[in-house]
Amino acid sequence: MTNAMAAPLPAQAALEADGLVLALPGRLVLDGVSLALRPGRLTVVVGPNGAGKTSLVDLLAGIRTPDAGRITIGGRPLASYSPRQLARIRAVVRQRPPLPEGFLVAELVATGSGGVVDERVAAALERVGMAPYAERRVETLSGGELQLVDLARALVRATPILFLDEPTASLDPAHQHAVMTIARERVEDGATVLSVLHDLTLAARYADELVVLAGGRIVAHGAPDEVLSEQLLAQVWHYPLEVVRRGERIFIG
Amino acid sequence: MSRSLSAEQAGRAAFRPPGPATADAAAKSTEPASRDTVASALSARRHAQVLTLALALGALALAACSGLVLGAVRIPPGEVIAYFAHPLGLGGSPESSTVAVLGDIRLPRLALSLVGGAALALAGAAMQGTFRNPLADPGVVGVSAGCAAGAAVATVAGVSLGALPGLGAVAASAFVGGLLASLFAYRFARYEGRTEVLTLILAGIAVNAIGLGVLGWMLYIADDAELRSLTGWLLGSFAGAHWRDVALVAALLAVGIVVLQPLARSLDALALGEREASDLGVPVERVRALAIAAASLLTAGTVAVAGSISFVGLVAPHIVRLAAGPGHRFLLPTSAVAGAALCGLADLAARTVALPQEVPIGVVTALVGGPFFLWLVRRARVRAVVVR
Repeated sequence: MTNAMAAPLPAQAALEADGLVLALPGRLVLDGVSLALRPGRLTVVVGPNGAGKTSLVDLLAGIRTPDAGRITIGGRPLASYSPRQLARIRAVVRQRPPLPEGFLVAELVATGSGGVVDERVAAALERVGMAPYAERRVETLSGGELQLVDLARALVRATPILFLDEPTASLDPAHQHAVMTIARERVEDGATVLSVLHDLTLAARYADELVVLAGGRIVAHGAPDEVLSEQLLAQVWHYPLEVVRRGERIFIG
Repeated sequence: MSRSLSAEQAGRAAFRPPGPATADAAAKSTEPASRDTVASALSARRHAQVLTLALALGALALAACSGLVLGAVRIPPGEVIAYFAHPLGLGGSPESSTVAVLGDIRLPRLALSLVGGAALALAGAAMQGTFRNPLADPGVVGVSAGCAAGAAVATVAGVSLGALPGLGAVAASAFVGGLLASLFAYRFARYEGRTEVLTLILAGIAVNAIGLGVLGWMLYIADDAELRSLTGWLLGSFAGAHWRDVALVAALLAVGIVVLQPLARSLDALALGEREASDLGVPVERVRALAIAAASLLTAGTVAVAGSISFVGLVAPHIVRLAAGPGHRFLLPTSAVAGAALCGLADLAARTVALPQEVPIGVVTALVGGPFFLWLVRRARVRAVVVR
């Protein structure tokens, strides 16, 4: 992917978050989260349901404002970026992809490229294996297909920062790997990528850094190999999960 | 794995965990012709758009030509041509009755029905895009009810804000009433710099109720003559159109196009949802405020001079969307053309189906538009299930 879209903005961008707090009525969603994301690194956030993973993505992407704490992108405060600048710096792929009635697949992806259906759209669709579906209406896609198309919509934007919120939730195992491979490709290209995952085996396999979030706090942060112990898993998920190591690979179930 | 990018990938450092590439390739072998699929998606859409625009323009031409020829007095096409050609020094002079009927009555009426239809349809398309709902129209924020209340107060209570330039007292009052209603609904729904769509719709329902309450009260205390005049206004009519009415609506239409067309991409992004639109850098609040303001102006202006005309703002964009897709760059202007054609044809029907009497155009659009809309919705449903 080229970064032509991000012309005057940096092609690479580090993101730093310090002491993020987010409170909803009657509930502290995030309680002092500090995190640094760097270009060329894939950070994977894992944690039980309700740990605050999606809220963390919302804050880091500038969609919500934290109640306390600060976020900088490329050394500049997040709030100093205009919505349009922000749109060229980061893209978010969500758990539930949008489903705008009447759009063709190619048109949906093209909303990422300013509405122009061009070779970038073709390349992005091809990359996720959805090019043959380009002229289908989006309502006719399955949940998994829609998730792949939404990933293509983010790829077409070629942003230096990419957020993936459970990008593999509706996908079969082969496509889960395909999506994570694409995430790694963006990372090798120098992008800063953060992904939320529920599948710990997948997280262990693709993450450079693993962040374990529980109750709105980071309880562990490091290389997957160091972080993933049966003791920690039992503490965080309250379930006796097994960690099986085979060569360099880690399987959790 | 994509074929065209594979050279690039080969040059890249190997992925850390080897293996997934094979899984990917096994999962979905992309046809080399995939770029053609994207191209053909585009060309299929383009064909549909060209065809739709051609049909809309054809219908507009039909409405314009037949609208000049047909009516209480039939004017032969030759006479119509003579009316237009003679001032240019071509052909013989038309009869004086032709000049009177065409120039003073039929032409301004036709022009008003066309610009009015275009304005209503454009307003409808903008509101549907803003509210992400194909059923929305400017009535959602109370414009029509506000107009009706304004017209009723001016007619019955004699309270009016004085004639605006180029508008009679009733029309001026309707115009202001419609704008006040939508402004009120919008301001009410705005909280901490944001407007919640659901709150806005609920505020619109309340404003509608208030407007209809005022209207009902005025209807109740009106005398027979006032009642008759109000009823006529409520059912809509382009009869007695003046060129100054045409100029007003045409000016509003121009403003509407200038404001709305640049928002087309943003409205497309909004179709994905508010969060996604924000992700894409769209200033959602600003787009919504502008679109609602433009749609309210267009509707209030048209309703002020021609009365309530239902369904055009719903049917015209709906037809265009079904035929040529939801992209607003095409949808907005083409809906305007389709709306002009529909309103022109509806007014022709209003003038001619019950000769020597007229049928109010609001009755025509409702009686023809209603069943047509039902058929359209049904057909779209069936096709959505059967095709693909």
